[in-house]
Amino acid sequence: MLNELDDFDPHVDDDGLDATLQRVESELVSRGAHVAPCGRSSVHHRGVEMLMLLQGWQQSPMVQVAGILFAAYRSTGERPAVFSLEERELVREIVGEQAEQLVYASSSAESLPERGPDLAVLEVADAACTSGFDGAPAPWLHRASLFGASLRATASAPPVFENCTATVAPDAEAALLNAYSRAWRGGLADAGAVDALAGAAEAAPWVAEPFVVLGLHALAAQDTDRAAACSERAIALLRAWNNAWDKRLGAVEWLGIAQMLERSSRLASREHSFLAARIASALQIAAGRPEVLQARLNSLDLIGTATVEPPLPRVAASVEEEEWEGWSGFDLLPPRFAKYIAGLRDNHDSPAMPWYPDLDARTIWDVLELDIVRDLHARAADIAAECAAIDPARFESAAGIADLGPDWRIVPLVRLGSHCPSLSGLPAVADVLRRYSELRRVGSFAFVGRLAPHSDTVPRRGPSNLQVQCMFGVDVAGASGVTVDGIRERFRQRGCIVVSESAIRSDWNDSDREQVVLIVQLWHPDVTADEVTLLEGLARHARARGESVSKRAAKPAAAMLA
Amino acid sequence: MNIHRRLRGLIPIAFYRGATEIQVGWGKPLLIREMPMMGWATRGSEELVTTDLGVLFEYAETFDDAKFVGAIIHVSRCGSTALANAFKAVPDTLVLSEPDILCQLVRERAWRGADVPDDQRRELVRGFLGAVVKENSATNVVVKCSSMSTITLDQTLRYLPRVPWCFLSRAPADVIASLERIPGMWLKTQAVRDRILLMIGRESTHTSDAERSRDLYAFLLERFYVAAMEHANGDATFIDYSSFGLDTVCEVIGQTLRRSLDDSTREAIATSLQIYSKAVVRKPFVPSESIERRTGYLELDAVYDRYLRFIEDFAARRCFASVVKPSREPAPQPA
Repeated sequence: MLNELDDFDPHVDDDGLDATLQRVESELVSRGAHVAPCGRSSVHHRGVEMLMLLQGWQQSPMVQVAGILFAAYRSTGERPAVFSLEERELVREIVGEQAEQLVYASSSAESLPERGPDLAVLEVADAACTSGFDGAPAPWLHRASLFGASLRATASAPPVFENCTATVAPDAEAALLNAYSRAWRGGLADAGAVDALAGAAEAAPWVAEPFVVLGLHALAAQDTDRAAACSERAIALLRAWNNAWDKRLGAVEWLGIAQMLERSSRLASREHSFLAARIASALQIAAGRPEVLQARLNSLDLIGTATVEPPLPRVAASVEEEEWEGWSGFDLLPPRFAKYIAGLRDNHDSPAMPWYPDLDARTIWDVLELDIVRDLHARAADIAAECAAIDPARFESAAGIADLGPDWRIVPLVRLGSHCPSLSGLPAVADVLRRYSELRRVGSFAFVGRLAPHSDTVPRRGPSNLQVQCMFGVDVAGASGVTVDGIRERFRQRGCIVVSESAIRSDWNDSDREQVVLIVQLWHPDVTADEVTLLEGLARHARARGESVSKRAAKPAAAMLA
Repeated sequence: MNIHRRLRGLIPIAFYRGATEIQVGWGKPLLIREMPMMGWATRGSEELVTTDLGVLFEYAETFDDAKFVGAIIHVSRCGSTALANAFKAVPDTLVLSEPDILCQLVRERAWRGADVPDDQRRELVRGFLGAVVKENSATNVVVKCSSMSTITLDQTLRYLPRVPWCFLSRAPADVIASLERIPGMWLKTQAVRDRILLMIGRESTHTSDAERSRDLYAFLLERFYVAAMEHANGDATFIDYSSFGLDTVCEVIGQTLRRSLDDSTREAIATSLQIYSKAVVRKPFVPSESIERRTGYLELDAVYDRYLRFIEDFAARRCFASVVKPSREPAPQPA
């Protein structure tokens, strides 16, 4: 191991890259680079931004490492130096000989395209990370395109400016900046602004955001074809840059808006006016600020999460789309649910599809994220008293319920979304549970459980990642708790722990007495109410179809018997 | 929106002075398990979220004190990072190594401590731990304090939840030589060194930077050893660098975690001890490399001698096998 590390050189060894980057970041942070201002952010953040860009452009590990330390020896108006020139040996030790030379070269006051392709790539990346003080676009396209031009026909040319074959004239860039700014300022009221932006964007068609703005205006005017065409160009440019030109929003956020524009082309015609009105209203409210526009569109649930990976194949051919006029609401499904449904194409091995896509996977949850926990804590004394007062004789075996096993005895309070009679004797518990409509959903349950002394239940795992379990300690004075993916969590007296249903877990009680716990099953905190509704609808559909098939299968047998 | 959802994936990284009150800055941890030293940095300022102190108090309520099993207190350049790494080698154990925000909470204001009321510090420490643990499920949490926290050891111990603490020491001549070779980050510049000289109320009679720095190291070390002796209590364990090795480390870890270590854990600890994790070019950890026993600072040398006698007496008084006495044992060999 020692030899492997000693011999590490980031430009030849991908495996060692992470270790080097960690070391570099540590060094940067220890020198205060995370608080040293650089443009709108910190020196450290700029380095990380450079790194992300260079990784997106598939540059060599050596260039990536040099990127995070770009101009680290140089102090400019924009950023302070991180290392002194006397520390070159230290930097060499951290990043290797070649990367250090590149860092040194990038620190030179005079940086020219002729000084080598690696340095040119870094200069393009550095330019792409700059912005105005508020994140608005700054003039850097001309300079970056000149550096890019020096990379023409080389393997390291970033996929921008049409693979570095084009350059941007200063006046074209200035015109683009002016038109872009005017389009945001003027909004829908300035009819000439959109035309001006269209002209400027065609003259310098190398960044995405002008096309997003044009697409939004086109959509507001119900021109979905143009909106889709603009979105296509914007998406391609965003993916090429891997960064935003207008940094008032992140690249992923711009991508989200562009993807919404793209989806709009697949809407049924009667939905166009509905969407157009909302886009127009959002543009008006935004008053020139992209971040407000994005927040507005988000609040209208129009954007969803941008899909950074290649989109799913289209569901239907154009002919079929015409036949299914009126069903284009499919495109407005929450992206996660759409992705989940797309799993039906390939669910031969796992027809139940237990894994809902793109949910944050955590074994143990921050209890404060769940509003119900606050309510349980607020009424902890009453709830604990009520649950503790339940006659132990009323507890029944938990066998067959949520795979709890024989060490648990329970009194059910909510079963399959229906409130059980026992809940009526627990007014404080009922008051809290009734506030959460999700506990009236199919599949929800809540119960008070007693865990036997000196028990350690068989490890189990819930049927999907869609739910979490909140465990409120009613009387857990002894050492007891739950082991979740190998981590032992103790039950909290009159407090909660929340564990993921999809984690492997077992309950343990090392004490001599039964431990009493209130357990409530909840939806994953990130699953929206709309998704719950859709999932329930899907479950109803599956159940109805199953019953229908069963009936049909039973008919011949009945006939034969008759 | 529930603020705690906004804080998902973030941990407290710094205190800021807001217009009217102290703010807590939350940022993304950097590979906290692999790199605890720098786990407190953000991935960039855009991730920074600020809240008031109330959020930390909420996390204090959720923190299970039983998770917090021990603290590492030290004099610098004495194997404390190696011990922290050894703890890290134990499954389910999270080591928080010199987290800035925690060090600020346990230090006095004069020593770059956080400007928060003293009666809130202990709860804020618990809140910090709760906020970190929400992002790092672990059965046990160990904290390594910065060596500057040793100066105000009474305060450090007062504000941490009561836990076993291990004090690591080393012959002052070795520590000074090491600091002179590569100054610690916390004493990086001469200006800082001179300021600390003033703060500890000792005056250097020298004019050259090198000699003034040497004076500072000596004065600080003297303070460290005196503090350790003054505040040694039933929760303390001592390891001197000269007795640092696999057996002593395993003994301390076992005692801290209150369990006997199995063979695979001992093996993992042995591997971690062979690697000094601060540098990419890793050096074997060889505690037997002693440079010079005496520093030339008579008071310091006398204090260290007294300290060595103290920890031997301490071990004998407590009749506690796991108190580590300064005796040599074979150093682990590099792989």
